[in-house]
Amino acid sequence: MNSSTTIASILLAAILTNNMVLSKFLGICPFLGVSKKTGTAFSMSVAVTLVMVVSTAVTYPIYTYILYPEYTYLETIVFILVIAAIVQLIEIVLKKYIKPIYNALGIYLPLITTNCAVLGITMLNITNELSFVQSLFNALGAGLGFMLAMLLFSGVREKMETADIPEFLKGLPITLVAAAIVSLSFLGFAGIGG
Amino acid sequence: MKNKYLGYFTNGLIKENPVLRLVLGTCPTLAITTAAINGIGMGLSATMVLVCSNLAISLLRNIIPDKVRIPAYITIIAGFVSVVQMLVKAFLPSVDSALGIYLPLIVVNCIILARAEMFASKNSVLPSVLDGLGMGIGFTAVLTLMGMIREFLGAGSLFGITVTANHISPMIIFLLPPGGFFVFGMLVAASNAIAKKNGKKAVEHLGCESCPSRAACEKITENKEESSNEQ
Amino acid sequence: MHKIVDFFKKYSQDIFKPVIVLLCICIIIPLALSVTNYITKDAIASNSEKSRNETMARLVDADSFEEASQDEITFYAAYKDESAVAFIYINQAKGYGGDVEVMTVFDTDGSIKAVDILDASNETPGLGQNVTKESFYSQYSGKKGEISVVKNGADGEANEINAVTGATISSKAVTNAVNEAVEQFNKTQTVGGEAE
Repeated sequence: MNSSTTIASILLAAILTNNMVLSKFLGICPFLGVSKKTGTAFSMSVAVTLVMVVSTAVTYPIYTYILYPEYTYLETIVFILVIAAIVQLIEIVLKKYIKPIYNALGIYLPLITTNCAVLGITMLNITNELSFVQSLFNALGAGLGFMLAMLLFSGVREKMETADIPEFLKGLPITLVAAAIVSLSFLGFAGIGG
Repeated sequence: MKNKYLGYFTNGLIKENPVLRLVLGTCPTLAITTAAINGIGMGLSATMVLVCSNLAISLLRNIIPDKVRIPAYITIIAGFVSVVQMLVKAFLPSVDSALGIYLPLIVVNCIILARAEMFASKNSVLPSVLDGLGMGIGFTAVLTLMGMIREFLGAGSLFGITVTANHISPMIIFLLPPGGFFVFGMLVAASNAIAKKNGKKAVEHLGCESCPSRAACEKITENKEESSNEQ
Repeated sequence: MHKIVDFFKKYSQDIFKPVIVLLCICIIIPLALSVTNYITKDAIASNSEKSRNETMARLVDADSFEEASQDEITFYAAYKDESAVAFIYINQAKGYGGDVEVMTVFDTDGSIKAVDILDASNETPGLGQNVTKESFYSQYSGKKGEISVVKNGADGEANEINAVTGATISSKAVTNAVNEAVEQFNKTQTVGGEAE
């Protein structure tokens, strides 16, 4: 992506064509694990989006001004530690100052530290050579894309609870097959962001 | 005595296969298995990290205070991942470009943190190394198998050698994301069927029992859902 | 004095030990990384250099390649027996999953001598990545001027190439990069002559 790529096309690409879960396979654990109910799916995705944007805002300057070009080999280790610290900080700040949001999202935060979608998006911003503003929107788009996938999928799963499923597919296999069909629908967006 | 050590090694191969029985590390399993060779590359990189981190964590298990063990483990694992990443970049550039961002993402692969937390932090060095090796090879085997299935159906080739592509038009969908979910679903269904036949429990959910963030995850699913489980 | 000792006693297990252990880990690991980096950095740097230079050397039979820049366009001129024999442009265009990097080699008369794909790792494996197959990119050789992509049956037409089956977007990306190179060539070179 070059610098002329517009914000709108970045957002569209991150939400639809390069959807975190359905085309990049990042954040599969929460996608399959926390998507049983639409409410939980929504809160989880809000927390993920928040952490993604804040993490990008912090890791991008660290990479550009401190790590690049001498210490780029420290990217992985610095990013994961910074993200872990950010998640803790967000938790503390929310708990202290914005109690209602903490009550709604607090329990999701510990899950996010080792969520590959968050680390993935901060690294993708670097590999795709996006600017700072583009990175922020890419992270926002990725979070919204995650949310879209979670909401769609939780809807599918709520229906599935009452469906008659063949014995050998019960449990995880049918969840994966359903995910396959949901991701099939996203193939239709191919090329929309280009 | 010898059997016991063999047991540590074979445990990860079938009985507690990290992908099909523990259901850990689903992200790379789905993402990079578009070709069999990628499965091998990813599997062996992860195995190397797994063996090294199990070794280091088991050596340090009495030194690292319980309170800070998770950050300590993550730092150690991230260190080994970076080392492996640099080695692959330097000596196997084609593997690096095939795996792309999924190579550094081994750091958040739950198999590694799970084995550190569940096994290496409680066992001595040799069992930990063997456990890491067994788990790693089990991971590699499933990734390669899945890569072979997807490559064969989706590109009509195996390990890059054309097999049926000239005679039958390959089903490209198997190389695309939906194919990944579908093939994985079928593999889990098959492994469940085999497990049931042998009197084991089928895998119904994600690998919650061995997931490092299980406690946090359960809080969510129990708090927010009127779970019908009697627990 | 008493208080300080008590303080240390009280907190040594709870606070100091974890801090010191973490600190040690955070010093040792980056040290180990910098050692690995020192060992591998030359190999990593030469890998990316090599692939570019090797591709140029493979595509053009020349004695030397010189990097040149004009109107903010960077290109390489290939010399043999002290006269320019080819001009090489490297361009990127947006494909399915990210950028596709393409090298376009022009003859001095402005026709395309060869095209090679430097990087298509963001395209779908087995599908978009098929643009890296010779059967696809060899179609560009000998063409002159703007090129368009068609889905089937372009064989006869002068400036059309066949898209890779099922990967129109990646094929178009390569073509866009080649067309950009054509434009850049026309801006920077006088056809029939040599680079000034």
